[in-house]
Amino acid sequence: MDRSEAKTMMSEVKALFTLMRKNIVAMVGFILVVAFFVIGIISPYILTRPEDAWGSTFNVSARYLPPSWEHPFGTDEFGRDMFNRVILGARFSLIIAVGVVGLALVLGVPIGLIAGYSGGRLGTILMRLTDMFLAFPPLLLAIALAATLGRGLANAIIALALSWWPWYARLVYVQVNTVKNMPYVDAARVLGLDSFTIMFRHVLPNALTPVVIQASLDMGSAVLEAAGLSFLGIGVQPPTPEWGLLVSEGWQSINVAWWISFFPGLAIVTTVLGFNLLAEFAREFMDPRLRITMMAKRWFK
Amino acid sequence: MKNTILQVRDLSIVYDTPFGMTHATAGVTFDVKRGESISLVGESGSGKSTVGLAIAMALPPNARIVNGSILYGDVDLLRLEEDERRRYSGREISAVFQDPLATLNPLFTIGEQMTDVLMSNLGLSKEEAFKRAKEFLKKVGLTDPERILRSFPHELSGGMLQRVNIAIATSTKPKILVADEPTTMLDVISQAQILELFEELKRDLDLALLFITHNLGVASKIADRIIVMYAGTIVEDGPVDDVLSKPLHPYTVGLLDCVPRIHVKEKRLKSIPGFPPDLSRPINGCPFADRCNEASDVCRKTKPELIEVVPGRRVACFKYKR
Repeated sequence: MDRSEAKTMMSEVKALFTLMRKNIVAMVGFILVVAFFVIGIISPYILTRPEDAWGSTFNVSARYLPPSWEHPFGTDEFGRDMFNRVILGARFSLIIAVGVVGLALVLGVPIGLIAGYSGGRLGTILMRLTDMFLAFPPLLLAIALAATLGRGLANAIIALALSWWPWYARLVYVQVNTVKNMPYVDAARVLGLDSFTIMFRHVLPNALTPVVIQASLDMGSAVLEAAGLSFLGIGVQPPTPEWGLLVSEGWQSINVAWWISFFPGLAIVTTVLGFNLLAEFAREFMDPRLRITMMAKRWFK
Repeated sequence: MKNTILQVRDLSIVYDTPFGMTHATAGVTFDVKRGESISLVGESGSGKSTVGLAIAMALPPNARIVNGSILYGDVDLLRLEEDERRRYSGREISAVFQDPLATLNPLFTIGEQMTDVLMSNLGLSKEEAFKRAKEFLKKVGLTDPERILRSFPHELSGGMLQRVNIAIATSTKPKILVADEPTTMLDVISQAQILELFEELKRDLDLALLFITHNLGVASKIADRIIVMYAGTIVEDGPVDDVLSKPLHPYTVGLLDCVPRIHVKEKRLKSIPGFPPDLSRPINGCPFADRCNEASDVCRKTKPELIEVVPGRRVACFKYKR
């Protein structure tokens, strides 16, 4: 049945593009997010001034140059080309976004799933543990963790993920509690399916839609919060061209050289916007019922 | 009896609710013979669905078994561990429910869901499972099984979906099929077709059918035997024709009186006066005593036992002697 599976996959992809073509907002979000991922992945290989980007140079004659053909985003106080630094910055923001959300999902989803599905004492213990983390304001917790763990990219990611997973655990827990009482879950049990299949085929996929949407929104927030940590000086360390750090580096000279903070800031805004637009679309696409009505609506317009 | 495949014995189940206990069934006892079809009839809250769910091993978590057993061969289905239960669920005893759309997972195609059940229960390979799925979709009267297998539940009509559910439930060739109001949510045409389908399947697969319904018309069409339940107990049990033409228990008499007749002109539909008793308290006498115009003092004080008045006919009423 491999051929029919391939066919189903193809029709999924086709449906995705049919819907996207007719939804300009989703299209824009999709393009922004794809651009972010592509630039993030290939950025080290397309730099015109890699030594500027990585931050190992100091060019006195090129300090504080405004945007021009040669330096589209201008230069900073060390005469480094901001365009190259922002481009390379996408890589660090990508690592942070995927790392934080990925790690938080890996921690939060199983805990929520197990707590929700098994219920009882185990469920209570897991959820009280989650509540303990939820009792702290997330950014404060992240700052405290980052300060304790020490500076650096990996520690910033761990700190943010640790302050983030309880939200996923809660969300999954609530969803699983709703879904596990659905007639199709009872029916699956009556038909003799094992708990593993019921959990991963019936409960989890039906509980996951809001989680995926939340996660795609959070990708943007992760970039933002990591930038916040760097801005405060406890995240990524200079001369790494992380966007938040670039904004904070240009902060003091904003009156004379606005471009140093502006372009990294613009990159953050664009990325966050892209994820937000896409998240809206994800909800409609992930539900086969909504998908059909969506397609129908556009066809009959 | 060597033909008996299921023995329900003195089954008493309560539901724990925030407001206390509800006695869903109290001392239900009956046998199911091989290939027999039984209709469990009763109004809402009579405990008929609870009996069905208990047999299908699908009681909700707040249900508590106070007493009794359900013997399938020598095995008590009520006291199985989870992994033992799976040896019987689906393979030996299967079920079809009321809402055909809600009992299918909305995110997967019919094909995926059917093959999941077949692969996990019978250990078939994917190809074999698809073959079997197609065969059973044809068996339940769906003409284009290839298309159905690729469809999502929301793309099919209610009647088709119930056929799919029946195909899934019977594809493992179980010995017993519990059908909990499977035609209630369908239009009359689909209802008739589904009932015919059940009859066919019962013949072909040698199924014992436990058909739960509140509709006497449906019950008379599908069943060999009718079991009438009231307030968690069996009040009458017997062959379909006998029960419908010569009901013994006053409740059954009243119930049959309520069925509107096409050639009798009536201004109002008849009904049985009064309400079913409060199930949160144990009932001392006959549960129907308050609504029964033949009730005497003994009815209110002692509970009538279900006695066999003629071979094959049981009734729980003091009017009758063994």
